[in-house]
Amino acid sequence: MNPVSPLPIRVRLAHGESLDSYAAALARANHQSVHDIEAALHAQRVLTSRARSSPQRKALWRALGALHARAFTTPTHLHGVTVRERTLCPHCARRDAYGLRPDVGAVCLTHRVWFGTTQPVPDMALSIAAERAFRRHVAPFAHTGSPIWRLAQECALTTTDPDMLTAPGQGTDIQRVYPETVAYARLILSPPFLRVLSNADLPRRDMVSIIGDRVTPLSSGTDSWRAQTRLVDLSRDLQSPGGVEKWGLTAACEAAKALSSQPSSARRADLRRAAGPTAVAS
Amino acid sequence: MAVPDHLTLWRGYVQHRPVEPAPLTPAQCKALRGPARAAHEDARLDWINADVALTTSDLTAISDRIRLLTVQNRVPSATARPGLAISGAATLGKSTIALNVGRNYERKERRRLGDGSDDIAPVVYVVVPPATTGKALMQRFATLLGQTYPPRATTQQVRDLVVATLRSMRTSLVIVDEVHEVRTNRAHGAEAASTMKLFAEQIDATFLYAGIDLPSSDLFFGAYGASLRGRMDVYEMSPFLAHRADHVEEWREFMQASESHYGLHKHSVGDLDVHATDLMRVTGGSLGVLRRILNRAATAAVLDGTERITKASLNRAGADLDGPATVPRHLPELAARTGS
Repeated sequence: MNPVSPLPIRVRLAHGESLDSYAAALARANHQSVHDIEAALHAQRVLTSRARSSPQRKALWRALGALHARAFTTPTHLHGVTVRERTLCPHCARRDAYGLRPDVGAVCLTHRVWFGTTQPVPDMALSIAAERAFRRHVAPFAHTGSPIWRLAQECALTTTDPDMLTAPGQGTDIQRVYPETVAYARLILSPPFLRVLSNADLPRRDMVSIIGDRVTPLSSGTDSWRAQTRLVDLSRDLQSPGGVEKWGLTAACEAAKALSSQPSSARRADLRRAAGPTAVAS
Repeated sequence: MAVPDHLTLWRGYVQHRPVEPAPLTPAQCKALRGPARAAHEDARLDWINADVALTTSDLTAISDRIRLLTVQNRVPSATARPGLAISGAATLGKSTIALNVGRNYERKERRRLGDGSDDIAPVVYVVVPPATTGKALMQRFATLLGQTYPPRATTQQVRDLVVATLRSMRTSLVIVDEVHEVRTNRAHGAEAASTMKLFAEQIDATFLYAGIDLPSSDLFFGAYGASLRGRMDVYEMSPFLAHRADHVEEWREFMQASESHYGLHKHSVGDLDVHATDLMRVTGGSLGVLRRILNRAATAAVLDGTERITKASLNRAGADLDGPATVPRHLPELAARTGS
């Protein structure tokens, strides 16, 4: 049994919130500092580890906040890629909080704001549809810190009409091309396209042609070749040893291979199963 | 249930509502078989010994005063707030009354605020440890709230922490039991009294003290004692006296309420009236002692199946009704009056 009793003033744990963010909020609500509380626990010999990420420290803060056992168990690595901490939606958390949300893209669907800000999403319908697509099709295999996501962003930024990026409106360039980014990420992670990219037997000319056919509808500018070039480079990488791991696409490629022989009706369910659990624990 | 001197225990105490077993006739009781019968008997025994406060004039008077004070003190004020001190000899039921007043107040306050969550603590209850110092007293408050404090924190730091926490938790009634343990004629006792005074000035709450013979205790002497005395109403609890008709009447009513509470099959309310004055004599007029004897006798009546409290069962429960009048040592006034 944990000898620590909960602190009197409780603070709600935000979904995916990290230990440091929660500890600071809980200590502040109780008119203390994290340092003072941990010093007291060290003095009582309840906390013996000085490591910030020690399981003991996590367990003690769970007890201090009267939290469930799944708190602070969000995976820090998904598909071999580190999940980065980011600012959580201040409306959802009801305070400033940060943590790991690999299951969410750039939009808070509940509050219709850019994730981590109070800034409303300007192109509402498109961005929300893109966010839904991200959660359904991209999140099982990648997150916003994945190399594949950065590649999709590059493709979207380079192929979008420059007039659209410079037009007056809210948001950064990356926010403006969010729907296109999701579309590129979704294309790359789609099993048929992944099979094409990783198929070493396919003649280069055919591959370039297929990539071009798929990329052209996604680009609003005249520079679709920029995205095409990047995807051709990606295919080269994926066909070389260690390339799949480097891009964090092991799970996606395995799922694509496994689904290649199945009828389309069963694919979606199997795709999800193959991706494994991606839901955030806390 | 342990003394609820921790926020978690206190909340458990406030939420706990003893369940009265279904009133069955003797025939229905006999018809029960096996586990059902055992469960019913256990429920009855639990109910007999449950922590149910029966209404007395002291409980009513103190509840009324607290209600008045808390309403008065709800308005922001820059000056010290008036409080109430319950004083009297041991076993007269001071703690029982303080706990019940606190419990009822917390329930009402939660209803008023519409907040049943753990984010608020309308009432805190603390028992003063023996020979306490100012720092120990504040640490006691911090511990009961579940706060941790740095190992080398000063009294002021701990007090500030407690005050901030109580303000955040919207505490409006602070019950300090066994307050006579603060002895101001010693250095650490004086420090404890001054800490308590400063503490009371910093919180917008009504203070209810309970302790033995407070007017003559160290707490109300000295400079701080005088200041404390000036802002406290003292409610003096006294034992029930056989030569006071109103006391005898209330004593009898308490006994009848107890008899009704037990629900024994072969016992009618009022059967014990003939022993009322004898019980008052042997218990020294202490409701706490009376309740203990009656509970014991009622429990025995259920266990042995007699379902009745008699003179013999009261004697077995420790009343010794045929013996000489015994005045407990803790009731010196009564002892002097009766010459025992």
